[in-house]
Amino acid sequence: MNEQDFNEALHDVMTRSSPPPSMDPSRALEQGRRARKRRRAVWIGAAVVPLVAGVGAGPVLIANYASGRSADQQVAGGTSTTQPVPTVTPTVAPTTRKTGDPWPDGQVDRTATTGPRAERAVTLMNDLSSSVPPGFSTPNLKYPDGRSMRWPQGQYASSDGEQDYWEYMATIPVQKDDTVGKLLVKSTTPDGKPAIDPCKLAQKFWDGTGTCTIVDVDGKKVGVVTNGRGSYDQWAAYRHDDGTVVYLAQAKRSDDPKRSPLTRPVFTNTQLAELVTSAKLKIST
Amino acid sequence: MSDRDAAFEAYFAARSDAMRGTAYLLCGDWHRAEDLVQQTFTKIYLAWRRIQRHEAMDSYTRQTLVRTFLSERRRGWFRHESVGTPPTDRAAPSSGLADERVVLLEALAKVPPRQRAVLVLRYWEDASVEQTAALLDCSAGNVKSQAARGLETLRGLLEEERVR
Repeated sequence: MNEQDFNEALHDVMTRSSPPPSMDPSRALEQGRRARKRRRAVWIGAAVVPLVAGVGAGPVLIANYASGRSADQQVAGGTSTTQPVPTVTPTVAPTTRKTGDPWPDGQVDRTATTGPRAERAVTLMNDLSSSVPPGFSTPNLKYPDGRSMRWPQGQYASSDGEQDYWEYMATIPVQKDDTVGKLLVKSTTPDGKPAIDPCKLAQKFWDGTGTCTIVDVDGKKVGVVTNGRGSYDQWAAYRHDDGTVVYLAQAKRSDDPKRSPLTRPVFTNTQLAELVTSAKLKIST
Repeated sequence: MSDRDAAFEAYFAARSDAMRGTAYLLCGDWHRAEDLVQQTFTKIYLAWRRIQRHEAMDSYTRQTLVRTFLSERRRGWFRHESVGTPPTDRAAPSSGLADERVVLLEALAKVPPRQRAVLVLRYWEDASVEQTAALLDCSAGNVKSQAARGLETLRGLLEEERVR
């Protein structure tokens, strides 16, 4: 198939396709309006927080100036009633998602590109980097087109009818000598759904299939898939008691086919299992 | 309704079908294509006043669509957000032509996302190498190599399908 054949084939495909009815412009407009409203609400929220902080701090500063005592001393003496000021922009996302609801925190889609949720994903990526065993490194390698192979992502994950929950993901290249593999971690905040068998949980990871065994880590049951046939070779899955679910996956081959794959996995199966139960890779909010 | 909203609605009515066609070739699914288009136009709505100063409105919309697609794919998963009435899947007519169409779409869906984006922009949207490079924020050389690799991948996949 040459360029001309492909061009003709694409036009043939589209000519013969049966597209659904046209999308409704008024619905699209409504979505846009909601997104704008959400964005404005967040701006106002962001502007109000320092204002509230200033109002709250004012009497304290005056009292301190008058009495010559520190705020800590006043709290200890029981004379201060200053309320803590929220430091996170308030979220007005619905507790149960419905079709057409705006994205939370003023986002224009599911991804948090700025703010505390985006920062949590970056922290997760850095925590994953610092977890690799000696002998491996986690450099900021690039794909041939210049994109970074290190990639953090914070995402609002609820679908229609589900309570609000978030997914934080990070993928990093791992290097040993001139070979490169990859790691992926995903931490999902509690979604209100009941616990399932550790192996069923593990086999829900992407479209991966493979043999699963349950590994015991200090009494915690972790599902570990050892011969993955998808994008990853091995991965572990664990649901913490509060409902937070953590996946950690590894592959000897990176997404850049020009790089030689690692000759051995980064983690043993036991190490994978230990890491998914650790507080280091767990994000619950 | 404000002038802005009326203009947006008119623009959506005029261009959403075309954008949805491009989105369909990118993701191979009408439901996802509509999600992509909705996300794209929401971004356009938020930036409406700024974009209106641009002469190349369609180019900006197309760029937003393709980048939204690549961003979604890059995450490793594609979330479904229903907008409006769910489209009804239609049974394909039972002919050889329909089979060929399905085979091509399936093969295209297996081409890596960035190569696929280049192929769709170059051979469906008829964008030049330079236009494609600008839309994807990469060099013209990168577009050429991605297009060549994409076609090569596609040829291989179609050949595999013929052998079956």
